[in-house]
Amino acid sequence: MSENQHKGRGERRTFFAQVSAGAALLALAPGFRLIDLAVGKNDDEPARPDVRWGMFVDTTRCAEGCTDCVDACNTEHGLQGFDRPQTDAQWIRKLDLEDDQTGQTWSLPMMCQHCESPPCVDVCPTGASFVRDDGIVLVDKHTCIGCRYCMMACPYKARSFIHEDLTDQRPHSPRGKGTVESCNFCVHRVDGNRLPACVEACSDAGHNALVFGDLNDAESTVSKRLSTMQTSQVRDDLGLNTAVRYHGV
Amino acid sequence: MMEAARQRYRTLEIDAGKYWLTLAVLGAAIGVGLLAAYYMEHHGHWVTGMSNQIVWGMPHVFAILLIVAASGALNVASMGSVFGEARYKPLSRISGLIAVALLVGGLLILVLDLGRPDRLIVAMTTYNFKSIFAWNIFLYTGFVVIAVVYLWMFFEPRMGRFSSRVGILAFVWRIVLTTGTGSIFGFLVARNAYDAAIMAPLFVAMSLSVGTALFMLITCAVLRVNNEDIAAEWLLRLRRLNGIFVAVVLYFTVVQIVAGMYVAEHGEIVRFILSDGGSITGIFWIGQILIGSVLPMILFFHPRLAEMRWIMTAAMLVVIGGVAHLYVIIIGGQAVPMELFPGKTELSSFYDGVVAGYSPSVPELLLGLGGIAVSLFLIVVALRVLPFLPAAPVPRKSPR
Amino acid sequence: MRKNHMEVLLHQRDKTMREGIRTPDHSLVECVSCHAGRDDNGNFVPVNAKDQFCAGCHEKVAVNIDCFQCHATRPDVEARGAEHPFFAGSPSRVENMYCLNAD
Repeated sequence: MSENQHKGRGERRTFFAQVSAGAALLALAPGFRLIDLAVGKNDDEPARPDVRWGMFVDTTRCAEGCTDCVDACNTEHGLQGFDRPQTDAQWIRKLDLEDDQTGQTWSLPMMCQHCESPPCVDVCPTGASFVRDDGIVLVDKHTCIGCRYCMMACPYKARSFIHEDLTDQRPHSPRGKGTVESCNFCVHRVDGNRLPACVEACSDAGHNALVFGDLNDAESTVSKRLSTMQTSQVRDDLGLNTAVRYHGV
Repeated sequence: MMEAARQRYRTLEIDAGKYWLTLAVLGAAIGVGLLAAYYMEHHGHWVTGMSNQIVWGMPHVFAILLIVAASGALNVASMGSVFGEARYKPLSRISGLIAVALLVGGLLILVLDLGRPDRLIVAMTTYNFKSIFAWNIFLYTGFVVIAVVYLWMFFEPRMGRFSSRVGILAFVWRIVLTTGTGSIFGFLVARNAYDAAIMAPLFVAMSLSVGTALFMLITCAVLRVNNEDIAAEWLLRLRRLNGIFVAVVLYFTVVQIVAGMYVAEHGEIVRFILSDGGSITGIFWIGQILIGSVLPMILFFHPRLAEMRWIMTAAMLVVIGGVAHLYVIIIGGQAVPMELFPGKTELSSFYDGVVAGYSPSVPELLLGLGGIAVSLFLIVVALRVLPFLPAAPVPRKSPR
Repeated sequence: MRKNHMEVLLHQRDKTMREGIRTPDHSLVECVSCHAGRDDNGNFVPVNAKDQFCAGCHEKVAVNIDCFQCHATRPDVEARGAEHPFFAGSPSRVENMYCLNAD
């Protein structure tokens, strides 16, 4: 049962499929590099430590009441609600803000910030909550014991606990009762050189508020946004170096 | 001719009918607790009062109370072997027993509330040593081992010369364990209610206060079954000691609140606890301050109230106050909204910007009570089987 | 495979989870996409249901399957590989009862 045995036809087929999908994606949005294929990886390659996935959020393009990113995430990961808002999982949510002094308002998506020094990773007793080499913060549900300490520790209230039995999960997004989960930057998509569902939905709808890419690549679209526009980290005083940066708030 | 008194120990001399009835009642409570745990695990936690906003609830209040009290209950044995207070030595055995039993009960509640309790083996073999929670798992299991060894020192006369060394180890371990438990909260940068180094010493003081109170309640109750006169020399000193511990807990609480009032960032949580928190505010003032601190201190310190019934009442109030204190810390700390954007009002579909609601559900309460029942069950059985209880010493003829 | 599949699964899942290796032989989705049976209407049946692939052995040895608390029991895409990821040269798209019949 060695891994070499399946090389050949299967691998080449996968590679061509990915390249053509990538080319098709580029063709759909001329002039707008949605994801930089140079840092894409093949299925048999591990996550690359020289890459750091991140997101730029332009809150000036976020309309109050628009939930395209939230809906896309719910569909992609099969986050079926049970009409129990207190216990239903939410990986991304729209946060509506109003300044107490000036009355100015904002609307922005809030999800796991994929910190460089995540408190959730520090506190997990079994190490189930971890940072992958390319910066994506994940929960290894095989090791998660469901203690919810990471939920106490997250400064962004980004995590959800699964409070009931689940069936008919989306095959690429395994999730089950008794474990904790949060936004994983659609890691199954990113590993396949596609964009996270929220970014794709926002761009398909024409809002273009979300840009995703490699923060370590100075030529990537997201890096260019971060270096030319004002951005801030949420709760930056905590010193977590988040991968999600917001413009306009 | 010198006559030295030799300390005798007895088992619990309770008549068989009462013994089996006690075990049956406790066993039923344990059974119901296990059923509640199964119910929560089978259906998932949506059947409890806990949610994505209040992730730790009544089970954790009970579990942490028991764990923290276990550490404090061993203090009586420490006073005997570490601090050289010979008069407490006869109480060492039962102190060790109560400590082990309370910890086991508390751990059981914690484990059964996990989302995946079937992964306990994973929890005990895979460790992330950056996590204070992981350290605590070590500290709790180590405490049980050390306390059992400590007990062995007391039972086996030939090991007596080691008891002070094991006692020092147990003492240090206790302090580290309780510091670790407090730090579970103290290390959380995310929440204004917790992110404070004072949580560690607060928990140490709380352990001594609630632990001594529970020790007195249990020990006096079982000694009465044996028709032993409770030696005034123990009780009066423990009474005053408990009063001091209650005062220290109050001191740390006041310091924490005053510091919070001074620092604008913590203003909201302080206002929440002191006035705006609805039921949390009520539980704080009446449960934690009045019942848990002021009344016990009066009863413990007033010279005219140095009687058994007032001491036991005060001890009971301390335990109730401990539950209230942990409720305010654990649930109050989670209920206050987390500020992602200070200075801005937040609103979302995920309960940002609003105080989170929580009401304890029946399964949670049953699980908590089941854990307490486990502790009491272990104590009753152990007392019946082995001579833990000090009896009045008999004079011994010197060899001639 | 029958005897060792747990060792294989435990190893592969860490490779996928921690490193992001997603080749067909590291993918439970891949296993399910072939081994899930269909009912008379052509719809997929959960792979861990009674009388399906997993239950064939697991019911006999009375071992609980934990995987499908989280992992999907029905595929929603066709299998990627043309041959069985672990047995080179095996015929493709076999009946899901193949391994059991070979007892």
